[in-house]
Amino acid sequence: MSSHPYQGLPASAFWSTAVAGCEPGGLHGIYEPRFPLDRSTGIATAGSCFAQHIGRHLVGAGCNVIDVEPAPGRLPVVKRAAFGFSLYSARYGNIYSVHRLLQLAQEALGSWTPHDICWERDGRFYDALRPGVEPQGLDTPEEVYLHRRQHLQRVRDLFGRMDVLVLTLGLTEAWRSRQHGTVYTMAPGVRSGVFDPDRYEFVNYGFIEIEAAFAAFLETLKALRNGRAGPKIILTVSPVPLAATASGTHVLQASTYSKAVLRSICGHLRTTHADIDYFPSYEIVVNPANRSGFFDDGLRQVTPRGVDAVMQIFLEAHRLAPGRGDGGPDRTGAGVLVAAAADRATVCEDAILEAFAR
Amino acid sequence: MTILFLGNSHLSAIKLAHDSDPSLIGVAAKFYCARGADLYFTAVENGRLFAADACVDELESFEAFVPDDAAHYRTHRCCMAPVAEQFRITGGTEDIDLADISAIFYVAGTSPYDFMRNGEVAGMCLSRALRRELLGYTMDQGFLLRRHILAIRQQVPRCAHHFVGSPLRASGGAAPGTRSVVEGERAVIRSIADGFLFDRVFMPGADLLDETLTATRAEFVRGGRQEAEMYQGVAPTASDDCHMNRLYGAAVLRAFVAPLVDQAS
Repeated sequence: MSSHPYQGLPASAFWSTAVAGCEPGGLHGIYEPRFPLDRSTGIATAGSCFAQHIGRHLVGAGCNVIDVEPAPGRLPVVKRAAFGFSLYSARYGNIYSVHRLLQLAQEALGSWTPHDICWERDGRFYDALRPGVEPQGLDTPEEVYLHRRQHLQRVRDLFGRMDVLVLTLGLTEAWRSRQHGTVYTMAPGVRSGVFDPDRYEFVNYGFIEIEAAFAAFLETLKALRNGRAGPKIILTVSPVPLAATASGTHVLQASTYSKAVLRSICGHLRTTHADIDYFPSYEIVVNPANRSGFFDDGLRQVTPRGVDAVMQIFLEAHRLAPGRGDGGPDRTGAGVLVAAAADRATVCEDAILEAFAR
Repeated sequence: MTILFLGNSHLSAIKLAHDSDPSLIGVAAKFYCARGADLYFTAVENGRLFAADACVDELESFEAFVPDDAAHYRTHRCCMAPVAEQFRITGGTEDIDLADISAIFYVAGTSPYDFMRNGEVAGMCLSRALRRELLGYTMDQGFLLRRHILAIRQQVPRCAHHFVGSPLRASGGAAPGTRSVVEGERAVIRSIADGFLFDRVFMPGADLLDETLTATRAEFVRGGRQEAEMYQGVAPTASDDCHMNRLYGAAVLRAFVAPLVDQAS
């Protein structure tokens, strides 16, 4: 019998042994980190709402997750998420698209200025680029701009000093200003602002556009870091399906397209950049062996068991799981307190779209 | 009409100002001071306020006031001197009959409304909603006087409750350019503070503050600590930057206490 390339491959190369033959969540060899993390690595987190789980678990494991906009000490832990604190490394809320991330970095650098970012509702004013951080809005447009300026200072600091960015990609669909190109977190009119089709347009970014945006993001980071190397980037794709689509296609198709493009981008970037890695949170959750068991009854949100399975694989791979030999997490830290006490639910602006389903 | 001033070492500025010119408020006033101990060492029963047997040991409460060093505060301030004895020395009795008191002015060093002390003005922008959350926590869970006020309100419902802090140190450290931000912060605090737990809350005006609005002018601080110590019957020590003097006390009586007294009478 002649030899062939599939002879001698490990069990992880075969579906029958690596997937069908495994307990849900018991995937072996699915993630082999390209570069190490330890508890001194300055980690920043950003992305779609699934990234909140990642950040929380990293904090719980005692990792050095940077928080450049920490909550005031007297704000009760249970109130922090509602004001956008302790969700990510800065108070930027969910960043669903690569284009939104790029514009945030460019704005922090000062190389680009967004327009039409202060949206009103019932006499209150909201930052359209992070609508979830002030649930009751602000008193005046001036206050919105003042808060944003301060936020950008912190973002600049974060992007300049992070060692590793853990970035979860969530959507290809977005809403954009026709005149200025500002990419928004949510469609105008959903939570605040007024939808005007002459001013705003729907966009569903494809592979080439996202690749270009990511390349521009890396260039902007380089400028923000004043020649300092890095950061290393760990990409993930959110396994949470789209809550709704404005693409005109069935939401299942739209969601599959979105995730497929983002997953392809991640694979491409990992292949072409030595400092970029991919962590397969998407695959771990949607693994057919789970029979959708890692999704809640709404078939969108990932259950705590699913999140735990994802993060166990991540932390084990980096030898950061609690109880490992390097001393384990410092459980006296304030961040751990947040992680332990905070609600495990995520804050997702797009969930509000479900209310419009008929 | 009798009003009661109840407080710790910071009460001396008010007391000395009143001694200098009782006409500043024009009604009878009682003064009870418990140096260092603060008022959480008291209890309320049968319409009388008296020294509690044991001090409260709630580190979380201290953190609301001294977030940087709550443990040190608890260790060094807890039961600095017997409260009953201090009440007898400063007010003439070991407990306070609240029956004829129409208003209580609580006088303390740190105001729960003083966000500036915690560096939050210079540190970050706070929305009205966020301020409300912080105030709510401070007043509901972290405020040492809360239980007493609620108890007094229950037993002496007609009695009004006002708060006088001397919350601004001699040097605020804020950059001059922050004044507009500080003005905005003060407006929000004022709109929230009155009526939250107290009926009215004193906030120092621009006449008492330096150009940044984050520090008390030096002339209102100079000698304040020594005055407080003399009033409390202890040997005067070095000056500090957080005890106001009788000039400050007079300003409080004129700007805050007298109008409330006029209003009530």
